[in-house]
Amino acid sequence: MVVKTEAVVLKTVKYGDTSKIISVFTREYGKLSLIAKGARTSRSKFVSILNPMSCIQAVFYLKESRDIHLLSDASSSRVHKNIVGDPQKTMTGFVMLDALNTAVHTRESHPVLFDHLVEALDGLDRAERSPVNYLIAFLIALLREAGYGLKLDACVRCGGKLDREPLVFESQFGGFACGRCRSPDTTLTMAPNHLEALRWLERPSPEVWSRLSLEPVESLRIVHLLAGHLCRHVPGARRLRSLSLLESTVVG
Amino acid sequence: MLSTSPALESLITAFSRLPGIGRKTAQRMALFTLRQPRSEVEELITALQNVLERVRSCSTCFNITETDPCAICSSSRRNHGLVCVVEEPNDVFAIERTNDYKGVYHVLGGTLAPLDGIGPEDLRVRELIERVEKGMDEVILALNPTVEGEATTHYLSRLLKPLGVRVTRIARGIPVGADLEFADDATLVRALEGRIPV
Repeated sequence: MVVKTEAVVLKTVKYGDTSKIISVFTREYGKLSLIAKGARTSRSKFVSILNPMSCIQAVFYLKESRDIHLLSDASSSRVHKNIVGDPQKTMTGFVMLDALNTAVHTRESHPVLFDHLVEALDGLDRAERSPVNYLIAFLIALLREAGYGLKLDACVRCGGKLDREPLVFESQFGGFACGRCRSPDTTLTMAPNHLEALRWLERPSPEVWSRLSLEPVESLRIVHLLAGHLCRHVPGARRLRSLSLLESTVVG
Repeated sequence: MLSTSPALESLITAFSRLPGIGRKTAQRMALFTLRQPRSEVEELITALQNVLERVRSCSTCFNITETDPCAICSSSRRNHGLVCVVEEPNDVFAIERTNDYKGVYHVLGGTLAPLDGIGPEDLRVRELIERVEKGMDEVILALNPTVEGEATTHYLSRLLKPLGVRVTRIARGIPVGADLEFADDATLVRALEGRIPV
């Protein structure tokens, strides 16, 4: 069956002398692998399109019995020319792909999550400052869509206001515990501005995400918190290997 | 299906480990080998043994060589102040084919690949820094223009610039002899960005 769908390229692997196997997250069919024959030669129409983070319109032969499907045509559906060329944006985008890649399973369709990814990449491309905010917003959405959304309005233990410090992130309950309820042995204390940042970036309005100004170290602390929560709860999710590179790019 | 000869079976298995070779092709290759005159098969065996015993990595540039340092690194005709950083030995062959480049090389061994957990410590970045610290005039970053290649280029330029060396990258744009109308958007954008005075 020949199908046409929007897709975001997650990763590419060289295959043979001239081909590539690409892992894509498609709007209609979820994550799958495609073989792009001859895609590495300079004459190929795919040569500049099939890179991680590329948003494409893909046409391929979908065969139920196969794990890798044959890509017959692809064209760029959105151009994110500001991401490549900016190391911080590139690494931020890689962490988004890494998180999605580890959280979703093959052939699991999720159009809402697809839209969140495209929205986050669009925002990252346009961002004039704080690119990591887009990653945090995407991770919040990813966790929510995976069924492990964060509870940010009240203490996860007593249901009271989160007004007493130190706040503690309790991953098993998916949110913050107030200073009164926290277990004495918990070490993952967070500052009130971390909670405010999460509340701000939980809003479904990408135009406001970049207005939040966080120190790079603080942004990374929130990313680590969310990545840890993802690994702990989402079945099959593993540690995000791309995080250390983002860290070295952001902090230096 | 298993073959009737364990020796043939092991040859098929060995061939099928080659990149791009599936079991069926491996089977055809094994049967082809079996049909060849003994002298030709022995020639293949000798070639494989020679590669195994003689070929190694140059301790300076990490290119494939039989002598250490390699012919390029030990040549007095080369400009040792100019180093071209490439991903793989294949890229050295490609640049050498031009007969135009007279500097030396540094084979990085890949690019940063965040999704595969390949970081700077998995590449020969430290060795490159050590070479540059010993004295270099210019480092040309000739990595593939992929997202990973670009990320690696930025990463390396950030490390190298404080060492006081000139850091350049190869140009990106329209291939010689190609038609503009068939060039894709990304290539055209880069070609326009990288325009030079004539």
